[in-house]
Amino acid sequence: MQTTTTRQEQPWGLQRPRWLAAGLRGIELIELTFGAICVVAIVALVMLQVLARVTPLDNQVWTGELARFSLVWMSFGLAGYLLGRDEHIALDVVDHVLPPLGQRLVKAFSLVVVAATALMFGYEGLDLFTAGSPIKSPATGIPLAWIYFIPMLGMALTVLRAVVELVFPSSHEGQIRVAGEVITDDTLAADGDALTHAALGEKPPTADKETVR
Amino acid sequence: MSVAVLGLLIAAFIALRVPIAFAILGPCLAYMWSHDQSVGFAMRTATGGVNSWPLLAVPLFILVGFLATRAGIAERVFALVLALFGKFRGALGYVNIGVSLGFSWMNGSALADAAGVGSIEIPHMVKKGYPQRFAVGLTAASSVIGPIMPPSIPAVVFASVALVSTSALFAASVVPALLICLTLAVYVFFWARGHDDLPNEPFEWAQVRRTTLGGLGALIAPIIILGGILEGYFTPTEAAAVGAVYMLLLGFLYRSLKLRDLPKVFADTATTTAAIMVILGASSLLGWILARERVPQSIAEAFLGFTDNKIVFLLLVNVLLLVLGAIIEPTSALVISVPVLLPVATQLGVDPIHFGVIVVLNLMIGLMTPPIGGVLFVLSSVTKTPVAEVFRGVAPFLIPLLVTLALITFIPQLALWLPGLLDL
Repeated sequence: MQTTTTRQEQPWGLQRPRWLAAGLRGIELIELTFGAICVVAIVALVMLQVLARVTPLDNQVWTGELARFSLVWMSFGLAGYLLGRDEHIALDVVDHVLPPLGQRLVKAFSLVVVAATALMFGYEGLDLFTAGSPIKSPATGIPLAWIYFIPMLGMALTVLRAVVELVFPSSHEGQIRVAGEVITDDTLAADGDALTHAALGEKPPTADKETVR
Repeated sequence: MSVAVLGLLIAAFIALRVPIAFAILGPCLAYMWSHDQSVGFAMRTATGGVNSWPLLAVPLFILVGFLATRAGIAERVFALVLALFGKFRGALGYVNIGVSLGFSWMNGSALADAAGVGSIEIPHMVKKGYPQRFAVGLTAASSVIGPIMPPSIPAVVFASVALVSTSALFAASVVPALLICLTLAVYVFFWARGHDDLPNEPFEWAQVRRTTLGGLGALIAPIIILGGILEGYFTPTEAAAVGAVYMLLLGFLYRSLKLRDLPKVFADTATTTAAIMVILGASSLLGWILARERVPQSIAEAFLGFTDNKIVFLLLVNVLLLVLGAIIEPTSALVISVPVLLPVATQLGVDPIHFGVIVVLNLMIGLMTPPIGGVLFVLSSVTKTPVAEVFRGVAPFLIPLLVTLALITFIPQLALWLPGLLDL
């Protein structure tokens, strides 16, 4: 789990064109849907293993293997989404000690490092994917080359996000991320009030809730 | 590229706000390529680090926590504990600890505890006349119970990195978590003696019955999750899946969870998991390089040249991890430090399970200390209080937590008794 806070900063660089913003939102939706499907798949596949133990069903070895592959795909497939949302775990002390110009330079440097790394790592995935290895996974029979396709795609989308953020930066100011949720300060306070009233069996005066994402 | 340059690059990139996964991965890739390792090996090693059955417990326990929060479990536990302990002097202090303990069976994250439970408790405590500093400090301190008491996400990660049994580490964490409750309760007891003016809640059997019925579903969760693991019915991964399905059903039963909530819950689980796992993948590659360069052995020799006293070593580890935990996010600190420190610990005769409990507790205490302490930021937002003011509230509660840490460090049986009893 992580908490990410970002100081107020003015975006630098060019204004992001609408078509690009819309395109990125579309990609985000696909990434999130894919991630959600992986989570559901993991729950279902692990439950099948549990059921195989307590019912006369045969133990299906492929369920464990596919669940593990889902975890790999979800982890590396969402790398680009996390970068675009500034939700990767990072040490953001510099945001608190540097002036705005210094923050921008550091952010730009960080994005260059991420882009170069994702490019190298994605190239590794491409090499594995195109090598045409005949080896298949033992239980599901999925060609191993295909296992690396989604991590490769995740890295390609990471490079895309890094370049877009460099040229058309977005701002994540005031963002606080708690246990997977991006929440505003107001949301937390409003949630607190509402939960308190609920716990005490009282009727809340108003519920003013706003979720960023 | 030498391993020293690799280490310096990683440290510099982390300091310069490069996401930790990429700060590790980039220099590692440069090392691999400069040492003519075959292209693709790095990808295989990094993905292989995540391709693990025990690590499947991470997304599943995160899902359990999200579902429990959405299902309103924290509120039900709060109402129940308040009905039970409300009549004691300083009651809301004990209630605060009790709720964190009750919620910890379903939640393995300190930040989720601070945000979810803290947002209920702090306003109520302040409304009843408790000083805000006390309320915030106690909430922060009790949020540490969540990631220590099983199911604990840092424990799953430690078990995976250290190649030890997750079940044994879960069992070893139970007594330390209860010890944290006890030391915090002792602190509250002495604090409350000087505050006679605090109001009590009346004790009513009808209220206890009502809240017990309301919280029955929540009370069964630990029996399913922890009982299932410790009794050997499930592996931790399977118990997490069963727990997730149970929370899902409970949420629908309570009518606090709607079908339309689920896509967001699943998507949040996926992004939270991915942020952790991509670091674990990168650290697998780093681990391979460190092993190739015999770094753990070199560090072990250096440590042993300095001291071969187990107690001195553990003291140094505590100081190192408290500092590390204060500046780096716990999962990252864990995957960076454990491959280096664990070999030294085992050479000095420290049990890896005992060491795991020490590491996790240190890093969780780090969450409450500036400059990075995540719990401070969360509670700052919940209470609309400056982070510095939150820390002033938290600071006195570091004493009971550090006392607990010292007890667990120097009395290994506190951690190892239960796994031994259960033959894990």
